[in-house]
Amino acid sequence: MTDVIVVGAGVVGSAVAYYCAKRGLSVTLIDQPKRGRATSASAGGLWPLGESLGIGCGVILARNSPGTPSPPPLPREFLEFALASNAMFPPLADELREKSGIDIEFERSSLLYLMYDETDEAYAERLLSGHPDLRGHIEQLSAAEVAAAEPALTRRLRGALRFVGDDQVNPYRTADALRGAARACGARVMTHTEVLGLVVEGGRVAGVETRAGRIGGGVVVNAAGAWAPEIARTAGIDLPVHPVRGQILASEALPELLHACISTSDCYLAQKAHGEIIAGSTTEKAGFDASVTPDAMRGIARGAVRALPALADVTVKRAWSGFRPGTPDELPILGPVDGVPGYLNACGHFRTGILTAPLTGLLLAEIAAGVPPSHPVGPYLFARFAEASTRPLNPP
Amino acid sequence: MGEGRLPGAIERGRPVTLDVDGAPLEAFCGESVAAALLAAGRRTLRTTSRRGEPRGLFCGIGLCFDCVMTIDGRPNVRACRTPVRDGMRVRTQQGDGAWA
Amino acid sequence: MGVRPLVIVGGGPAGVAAAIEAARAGLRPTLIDEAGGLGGQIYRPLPEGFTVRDARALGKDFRRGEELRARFATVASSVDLLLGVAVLGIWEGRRLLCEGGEIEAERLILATGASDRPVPFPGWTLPGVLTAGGAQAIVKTMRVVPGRRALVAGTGPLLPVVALQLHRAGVEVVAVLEAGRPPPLLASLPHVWREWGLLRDAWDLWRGLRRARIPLLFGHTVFEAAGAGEVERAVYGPVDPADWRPRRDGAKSVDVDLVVTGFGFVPNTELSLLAGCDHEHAHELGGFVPVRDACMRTSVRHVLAAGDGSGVAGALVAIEEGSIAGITAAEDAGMLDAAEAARRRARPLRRLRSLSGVRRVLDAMSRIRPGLVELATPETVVCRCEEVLLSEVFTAFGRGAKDLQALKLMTRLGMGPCQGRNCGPSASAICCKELGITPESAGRIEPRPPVKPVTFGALAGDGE
Repeated sequence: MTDVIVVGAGVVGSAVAYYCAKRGLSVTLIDQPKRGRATSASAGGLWPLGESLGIGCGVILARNSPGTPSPPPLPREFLEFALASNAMFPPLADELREKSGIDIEFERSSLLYLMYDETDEAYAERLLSGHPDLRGHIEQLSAAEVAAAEPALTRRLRGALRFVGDDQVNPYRTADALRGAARACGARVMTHTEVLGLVVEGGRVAGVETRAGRIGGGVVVNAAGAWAPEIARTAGIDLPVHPVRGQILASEALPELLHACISTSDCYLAQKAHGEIIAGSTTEKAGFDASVTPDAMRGIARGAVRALPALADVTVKRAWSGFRPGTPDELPILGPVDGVPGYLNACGHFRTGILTAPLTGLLLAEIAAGVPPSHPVGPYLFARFAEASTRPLNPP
Repeated sequence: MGEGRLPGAIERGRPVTLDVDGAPLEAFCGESVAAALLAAGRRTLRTTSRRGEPRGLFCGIGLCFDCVMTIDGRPNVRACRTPVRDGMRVRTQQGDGAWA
Repeated sequence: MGVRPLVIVGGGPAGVAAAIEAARAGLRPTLIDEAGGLGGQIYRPLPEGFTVRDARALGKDFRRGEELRARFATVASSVDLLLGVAVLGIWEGRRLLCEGGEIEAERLILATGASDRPVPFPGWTLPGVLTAGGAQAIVKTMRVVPGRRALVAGTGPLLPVVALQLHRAGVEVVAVLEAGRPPPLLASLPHVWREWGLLRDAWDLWRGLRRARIPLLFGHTVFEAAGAGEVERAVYGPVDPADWRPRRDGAKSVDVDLVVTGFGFVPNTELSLLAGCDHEHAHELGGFVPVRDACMRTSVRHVLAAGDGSGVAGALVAIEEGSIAGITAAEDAGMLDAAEAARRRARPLRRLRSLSGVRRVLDAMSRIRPGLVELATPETVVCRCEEVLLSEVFTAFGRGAKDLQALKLMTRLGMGPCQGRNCGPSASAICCKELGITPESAGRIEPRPPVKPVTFGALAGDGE
């Protein structure tokens, strides 16, 4: 019997496991690798300002789907959440290196949003006017200043916005490091074990059923990403999480061409510690089809070459896709569900899983330990989905 | 001509000069870089990233990627599929190589 | 250009034969190959810049290749030929992504050929170890000698061919090691008597080896290649007749600077897998092959497959299969009625039946036996690209890996630029032997687009 069972060892599940174990709770982290898991597909950008304001994936979607309303900037509370989690990274990187021996390759890159034309500039203007208090975190660069800061970028642009504090990590290593640190703090990690469902007994979720048998736990945390609804369903919870496919190209290893992460209306680019440049992405409803498509490959390649002309001659080493766990309001689903004791959500992280994993982990650990969470969880509770139903396990 | 070249049967293209690790090497148009090196007795084309082991031509048809060298500043180029060009800079690649 | 009525991927014997038959029937094919000329591997043309002086000295395969190219030339004006173009992926069996753009096909013939089966043994990564296909490419096409003293080992009819090619190029071939045992002559005769041409070829080969004084040792194979940074000597010895397990107590050493290995071929199935065709594992055909009917149709209605890419059987079979595929495509497109199509298919079908007898005899000798996996020691590299050792594969088994996908996740096997071509078949054999499972259970390294290297620029295409 373990205090906490965490289903899913992507970056979020691993973070939950770590922070729980760090608190002295006994933890069992269970994972079955699935094709298209978001952690492995991610570029590893930590872009609280960018993603919240609709840069990164948002601006690509807006530009390429005329008629689709641009995703509204995310609510202010979420920006706070993202910034708070972002701030956890520097000390966490050291902590994880010490406990797991793994370097998550945290880099203060900043994020540059390139403006090619008037539409891009108008988009930027809307962002700035909507968040006057953030102007201090956002620098405006002229074309000449961009050329000086990033000589490898195309000169054919009007300028850029720099989001200071939007950085990057290596997403696989981050999950590995969190998992390793969780182990070092006493967590049990079961890899290649499929969770078949939640065990409901005595009016509460009492554990999980796996292919390796039943495991009892004080509380079960659902961190199964795009697959979270399958788990939740077994306790009568209808989680509104759906897969949103994103496709990525990775280049061969290159010398340092980019210092910052780059966001444009065609694509984003991030050069990772080993030199490869990751170019993405798409936002597609494709169910669980993990293929890469010719349109996406060509579109991303075109966008990448436009921003960084030197890429024209560079080999595409790999193309892959992943499923972001999407929710109707693009906000994560965290914490308890009314009427279903013994169960906690840690899912629906959509575009910002890597970024918000630390704070998610911390808060879920606090909730699991019965301690008031140190950051408001209210906006992220399942309860906000008024139409979604649950069958309470303990009818009033 | 290079002792590795078979005489007769065919006529090769015009001679060109490659720069191989800083030294000149004669080759003939139409040849692949791997063939030109092999003709001169040069069989080690790179050393591997993980264990630093020597590799050279293996499958000869562009599928194994063991023959990759840094050619004209670009790493990971298959020598068996690259036709020689006058002045081409060919470098034995160490590991993943580096752009130059 | 809109939807093309027929796209043929692969310009070797099968693809060219298909193009000729399709064109003859009035269906305009598009023929794509990533090389600069037609002929595939076996009938590779000379590189641009070389001119022929003495065609006879270039050997039979060159002549056959020239004949094939000459026959193609008679229909060339009815074919859209795309040379130097690699196909990176296929979607819905119709949409082909190539460098520089996309092609949409009404129907598809896949004629992608096969590649040398990789067999790991200690020292196989040393410079100086070449596959039989690689040795042929260097000697026949580039006219360069890859070494001075060679050991040729493996199985199958290609071995003596390569040995003689090396010999004629001035290489001292110390021995040809055939792992199998010779087919019993009398028992084989009924299967092969109709194929006089092949029998004569076989006789010529055997006589050629004897004249050249090249020892041909059945039931033997190479155990190790060794040297300081390059091949300087090899160890070889007998193998168990039943499963080809090395019998190391009989090992001998010989000084050579070249080891040429030819253990048969493995069909290139990346595109047939991406096209969604059903596949089955056929050991005698080289591994996983697309399921086909007698008209070369796969399980996907508009996708046909022909030649070594659908099952290794050699150039002569490839030509007949390609012809059948071309005729079937034309029939499907309404250019031939059923009766006419059947009439045209009759002769190639007869030839295939006749050739199949020969194949049965060869298979009996050359079917890869499971004991070959014991050539590798724990220190032997199994995945050449990522330098994954056999010991690491065993560790992964210990941690629960049960198939190639799991091996890939745990050890990085198959994650390098060759996309598993050089480690998939041997990793599968290792799984089957160690875990006692079938090749179907062991699975594959699944192909992912882009299946060939492509630059961002080529992918972006023109017209930004």
